[in-house]
Amino acid sequence: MTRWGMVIDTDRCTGCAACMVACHAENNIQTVGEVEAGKGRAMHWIRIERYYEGEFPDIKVRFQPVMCQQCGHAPCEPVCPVYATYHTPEGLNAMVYARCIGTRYCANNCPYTVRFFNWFSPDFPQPLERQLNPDVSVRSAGIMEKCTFCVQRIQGAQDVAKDEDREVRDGEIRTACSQSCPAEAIVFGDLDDPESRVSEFAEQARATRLLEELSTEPSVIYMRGGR
Amino acid sequence: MRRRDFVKASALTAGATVIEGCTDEEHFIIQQVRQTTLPGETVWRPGVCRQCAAGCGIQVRVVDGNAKKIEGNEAHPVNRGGVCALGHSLLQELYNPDRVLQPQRLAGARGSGSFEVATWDDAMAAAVQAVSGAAPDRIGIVARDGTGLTGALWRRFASALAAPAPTFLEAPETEVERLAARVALGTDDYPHFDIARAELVLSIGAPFADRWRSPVHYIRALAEMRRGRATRRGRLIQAEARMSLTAANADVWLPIQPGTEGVLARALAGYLLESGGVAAPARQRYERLFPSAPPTLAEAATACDIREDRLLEVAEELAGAENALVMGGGSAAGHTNGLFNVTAALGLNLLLGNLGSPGGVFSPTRVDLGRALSSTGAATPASRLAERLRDGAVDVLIVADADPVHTLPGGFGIADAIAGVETVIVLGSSLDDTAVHADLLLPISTELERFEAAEPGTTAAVAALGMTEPVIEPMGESRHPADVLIALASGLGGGVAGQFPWSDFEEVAEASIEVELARLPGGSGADASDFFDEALERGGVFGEGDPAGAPPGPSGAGPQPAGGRFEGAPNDYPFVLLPFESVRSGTGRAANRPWMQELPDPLSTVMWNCWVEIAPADAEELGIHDQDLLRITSPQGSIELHAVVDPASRPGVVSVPLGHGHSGNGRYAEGRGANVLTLVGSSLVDGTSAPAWAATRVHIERLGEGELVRFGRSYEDMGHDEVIPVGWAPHEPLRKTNPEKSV
Amino acid sequence: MTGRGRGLRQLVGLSVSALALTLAACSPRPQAAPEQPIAYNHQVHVQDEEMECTRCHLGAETQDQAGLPPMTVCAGCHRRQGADIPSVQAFMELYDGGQGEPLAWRKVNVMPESAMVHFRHKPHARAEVGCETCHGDIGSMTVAEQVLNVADMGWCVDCHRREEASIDCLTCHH
Repeated sequence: MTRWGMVIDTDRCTGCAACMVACHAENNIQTVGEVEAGKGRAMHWIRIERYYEGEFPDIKVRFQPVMCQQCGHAPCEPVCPVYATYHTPEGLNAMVYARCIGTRYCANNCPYTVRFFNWFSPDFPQPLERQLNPDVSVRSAGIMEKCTFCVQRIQGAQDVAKDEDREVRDGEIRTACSQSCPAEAIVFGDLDDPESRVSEFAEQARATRLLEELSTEPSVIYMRGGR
Repeated sequence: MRRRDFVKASALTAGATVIEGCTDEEHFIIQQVRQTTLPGETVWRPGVCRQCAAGCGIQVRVVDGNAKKIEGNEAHPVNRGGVCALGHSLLQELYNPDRVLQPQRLAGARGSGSFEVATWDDAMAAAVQAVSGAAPDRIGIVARDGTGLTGALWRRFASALAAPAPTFLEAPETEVERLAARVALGTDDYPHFDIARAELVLSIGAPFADRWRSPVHYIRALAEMRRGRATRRGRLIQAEARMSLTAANADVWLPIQPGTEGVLARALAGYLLESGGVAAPARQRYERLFPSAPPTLAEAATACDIREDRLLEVAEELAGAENALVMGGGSAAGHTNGLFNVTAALGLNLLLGNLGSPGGVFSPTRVDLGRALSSTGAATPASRLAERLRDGAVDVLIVADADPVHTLPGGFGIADAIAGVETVIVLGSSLDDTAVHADLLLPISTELERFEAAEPGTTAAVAALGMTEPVIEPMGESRHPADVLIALASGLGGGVAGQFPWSDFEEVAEASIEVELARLPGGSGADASDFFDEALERGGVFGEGDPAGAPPGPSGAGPQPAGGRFEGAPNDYPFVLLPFESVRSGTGRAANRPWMQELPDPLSTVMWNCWVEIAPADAEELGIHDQDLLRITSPQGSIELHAVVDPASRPGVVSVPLGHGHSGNGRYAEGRGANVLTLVGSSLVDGTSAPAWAATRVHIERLGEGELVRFGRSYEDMGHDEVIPVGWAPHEPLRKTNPEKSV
Repeated sequence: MTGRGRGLRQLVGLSVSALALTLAACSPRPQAAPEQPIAYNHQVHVQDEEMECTRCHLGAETQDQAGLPPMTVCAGCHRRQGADIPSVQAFMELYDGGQGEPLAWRKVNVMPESAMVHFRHKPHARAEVGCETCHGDIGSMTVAEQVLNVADMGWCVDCHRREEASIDCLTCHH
């Protein structure tokens, strides 16, 4: 079986935010403008959390990129009344836009606050819309969205592999954030494949997960230590 | 028809083949049609990013003739596959709804921003008339960067006209850093630092993980230094007055008093010299650079306002490290004593014995294709151009892909002086602070729509020249800026036209490659035409292997140690102002891109606006709360901004991001913040012609409450009492148990 | 099994078939054929001239979209053939005089935007699903029209079940 997972090395990450813009470009995420962003309605599927520790002059900063953790026990899934969000056989926390009726229960139940509600119809003034990725739906008002682990890229790689009558190779799938990362802090792969790079990382002592105590079984693993 | 020409003719638009005729050759035709893109088909084409001087190699996803996504070109030595936030946003320059796509002619008062559409023929005729009617010494030329072929073309143009050399708007500290490298290390440009293989990097002022010089390159190197080796993790020490993104990523941050960077470097040198680990030749070389006795750590501690024990720790670490290197630049280069600061920083490498060794400092490696055009390296400093403008000595000003009004200090007086210029011709893709003063605005293509030949502003381990064909067809009537220049030159006729015998920029590149072939990586003995085609396919000409060439060492005595001077007396203007580049705004080029406006600054988390960072202690004293509206006044001027009370700010220092406060730049940029450079005076860095942009003092006054949009999605912002990094504290290893059984 | 249990099951069975009936009744009917800028006759090309679908729909087997042919593909043949046919004359006039403006063929099979679905031809071609499976005997049509509504997901899912293809929502809806 396949279980898609991601490893983020926080000692490599510098917080440069390239991943955030890469994600917008890849996934047709609309911007909401200053007023709505002020209401917390900006839709950054991946964000950089910044933490200060200590006091000046001995103050330290830590960055932590956070996106949908694709939980194995996803708190968002059981609360959806219309099964718009569910678990795929490959371990993705799927979000089926066409099913969503916008109750926002899922967002309320997500401890990682990585789900976003579309308060408005998309607005990509001409010719900005020429940039839109044809492989990703443009979400309309009233539905939820979130990081998909770039499922369109997963499918793309699986399609190529099928053409060539082989399995998807480790490292063949790169999510937009991972591809963009100047520091190569983000690695994507199959956690069920013991040979994969993500598995290799997951077994190291530096590996942790966010809010482990909630038993959500996230598929995103953070490599700690260093600074 | 050459293969390349065929691909160009056929592949730009989906299915737009020019092949006709059927029956007999049906099969052949279908094959041909199949070779071009199909509806919905993805094609990746190599390109070069010109959003900053770094010149990263990119791959662009093209579907149905539209550019969809930018990724890094893994073959390019500068970025090796990475892209930064600004690079991604190039797509929103390309498809910007406020982009200027037809030639514009002033239709109203100068500066009113009111234009009427003109044809290219009329616009070029007007440009030719203006230039030919002006006395050559009363022409001014401003272009974006002086490196590579485009820089060489502008130089050639100026010299053919017998006009003063062009002004290139590189980052202000670049000149200082270049000069310092020349003095301290004897290199002709800023050197290559082998960060990835270093054990310890001390950066004095250089914000290399921010937007400085070549961010993707440096960030990658930093990550490799830390986690690229199984054996040991390298460390970064950042000495910088502001908590930059680089300082935020440092293992040790020394929040140094602005303008004392050189003192720190000299004191560390003193420690190294005393500790006895320095070989005699290295000592001699260093003492040639700085013959005087260095200050002690105790003296430096007082001057730099850093505890002596912390300085000692850093000095010991530096002395004990096997592969250590020292970088210098950034704000350290922006003080009046910037040349001393950076020279002192770079000079430390002489004592560390790292010249030309792994994890050390290497000579820069340049392709320098512009050499083929044998145009001289002369340039007019921006400060000198400003003087000419103020003196009314410029009748025709040509500005190509640059925004001098926005990016030069207010003290240079460009905004006012430009009104006195008879004719302003701007080659640009949008209305910016300079273009609103234009008489003629000529729409230029972005790097995705044109033939590119771009050299990295900062060299990587090996030489590189990004060279690519247009990725997509140009939008509207936009044209290659170099093609506009060539057309202008040929329109002028006579000797000027004779100097520009090419039909377009691509021809310039091809001819230059032919001339320089033997000198280029992989070019010796190659067929010029094949070499050219292969370079375009790859995305450029790239060297291979390890960096070679140790810097020769100091060329003579360095600048006299000096303290920094600041405009404004400390009593009237108690704060030192540090302008900086945020990853979300850079120097202002990306202001009208919604992705960049909605991108939170990684440290302040501000979106859609500009801000001023102030230390909590200072804020308390002035009764300032977070988000309050403040008036910031320097001897040069005053602006209003919202406060970010920043726990990492050094007391007595306030920082403001560059690139805000545009007028007429478009719907997303309109009315956002203020341009911090309007506060900066006309001081220059001693011994250079570069503006001292970090040498201003300001006064701060609270105007009232305000609101600043911040990105609030972290546990801190979600109202948790304690700042507990999510999942951090327990350090639990990954549970491998089956979730079904773990209850 | 108790009578009560059987009764319940019958009731459920009844409601299921009633539901199926209702669904069948509601099942979207084929959409009306759009009017094309120039009348195009599939029958002439496919039956009379024995042309393969992929001759004009270039991406049908290799791309997500089959694609409507660019004018150059039509002109490739009609520069020399069919000059006596009025619709061909109309086309060539448009092609030669149109300054490269693409001819706006109207798509017959359109997925509703609200479905946020990504139908991809390529995997279907790879699984050897013939064009006629969804498009019917389009080769005998003089005016191309739908034989089944492509927006009818039930029909997709039926086939996917039968052929043991993925019925994971995310396969198509993302």
